[in-house]
Amino acid sequence: MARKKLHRPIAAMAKKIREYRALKERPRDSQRFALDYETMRRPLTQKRLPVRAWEDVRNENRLFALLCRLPRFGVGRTVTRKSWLWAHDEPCYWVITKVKADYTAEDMDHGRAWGYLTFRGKTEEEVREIDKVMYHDWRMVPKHEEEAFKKFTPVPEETVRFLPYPPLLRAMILAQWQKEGKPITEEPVIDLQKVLATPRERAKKKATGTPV
Amino acid sequence: MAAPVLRRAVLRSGRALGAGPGRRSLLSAAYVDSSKWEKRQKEEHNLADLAHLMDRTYERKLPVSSLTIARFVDNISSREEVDQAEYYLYKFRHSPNCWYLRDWTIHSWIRQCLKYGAQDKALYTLKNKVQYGIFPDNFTFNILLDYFIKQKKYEDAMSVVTEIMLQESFDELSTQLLSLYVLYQYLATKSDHAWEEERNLGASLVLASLKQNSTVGFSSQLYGYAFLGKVELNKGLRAVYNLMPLMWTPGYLNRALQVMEIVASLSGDSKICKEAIDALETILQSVLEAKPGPDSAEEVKGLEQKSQSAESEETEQSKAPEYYSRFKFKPSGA
Repeated sequence: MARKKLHRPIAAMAKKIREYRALKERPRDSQRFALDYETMRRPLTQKRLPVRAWEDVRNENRLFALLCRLPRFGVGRTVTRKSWLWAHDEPCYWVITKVKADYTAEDMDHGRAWGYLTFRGKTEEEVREIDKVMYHDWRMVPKHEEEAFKKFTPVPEETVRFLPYPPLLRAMILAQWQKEGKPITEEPVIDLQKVLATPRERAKKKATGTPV
Repeated sequence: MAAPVLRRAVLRSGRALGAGPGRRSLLSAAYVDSSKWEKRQKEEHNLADLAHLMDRTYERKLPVSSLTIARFVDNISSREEVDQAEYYLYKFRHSPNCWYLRDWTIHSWIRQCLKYGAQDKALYTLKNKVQYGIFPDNFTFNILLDYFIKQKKYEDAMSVVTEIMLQESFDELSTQLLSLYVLYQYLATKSDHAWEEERNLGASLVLASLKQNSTVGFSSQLYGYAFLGKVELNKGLRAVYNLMPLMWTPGYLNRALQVMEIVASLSGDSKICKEAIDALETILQSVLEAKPGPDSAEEVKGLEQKSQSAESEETEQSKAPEYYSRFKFKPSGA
């Protein structure tokens, strides 16, 4: 462009030091997600929680508020969310595999956790980080109720295969068949399996229709 | 509760604990004997060195290894050092390695506390398990319970049983039997409980007796569910399951009646003790008497935002007469 980039060693060093200090003094989970229960504000950002969450915040617990009372932070236990309990009939739960607690919290109330998710009866095979750990929404499934809670008989989904054509297209197809002399015995139907299997090739061949 | 029929019927041998030297308590002497544990191979370290090392590591904000704290707890040799170890346990719990606190460290901490007469310290750290990270296993719980039973301190033993219940470690039969013994002794001494105590008692009774199919088991389940049903009707369902290992579906009195139905349908010899049935009856009657009072209050409350909780209470209160009729039907039929 105009001129060569100036080499500023001191500024580069200062930038590195600033980044290092920001990393060392970054706000921990316990500071970011601390909550003042009277005003419903986060002390770090002074932001208020959404109104619909206030009742839940007063009634329920965060995930780590439940896990800190268990040996080894509840590894191997099942946890659910109250919003899932209210929204879905099928069992939705996390089975915890790994926990990293935030040690700066006074009551060990925050941290990160990983586990296997089972959502609406379908279990995933990979360990994922548990999302929304800091929400006041979590419930622990007692050991003696785990089996009954996890019981799930999957209902087979109804899949539709054949759909009727829209009326104008149907009229055009029937007119085409009449022109060709084909006997009209059945309805023209869309076969969804063929349509969804190969979208590229379907776009290439387009049938001709007679304008009605 | 009034008649200690249950206690006498089940725990005849345990009634005279610690009376004579030949008398055996619930756990044999070999179980709580600590000679084998004393003879185990320990690493000899100087406590001052270990403390200094840990202080330096914490100052530099580096993680302390769980083996260091294990060595510290192993080499405790006096009562003051128990206090120091408690401080370092607290610091370890609030360090990045808190998950790695070993089982054997917790076991030796409890053993050392009991050896140097610091059982109140052990109890304090157990009650504040969130801050100290003390989660004993079944063996350690058995030793602790036995210690308190031999000293006949049933309130302390009751708090230990509450901790076992919160950790849900009623896996071994010995733990279940010991805790049931403590529970019934405690119930015999005190009859008036605050609702939190009732809730803890109910939950401990239920969890301790879930896997037992005997008279004691079924009676304890009934008793526990009766307590929980009483708390549910007085304080709401949320007061029952919040921070407890209990299910959030309503209907604890219903579960009590289901236990009675199961016992009635079983062909074996197991029955339910009269004490538990009396307890359930008194609770149902008190609920029925209290019903005409809250009716008007509930109509007003139903218009407020707490419609959900009021609904469940209303359905439970309305089911109370139905429960009572089922309950009356059971003893006459069974």
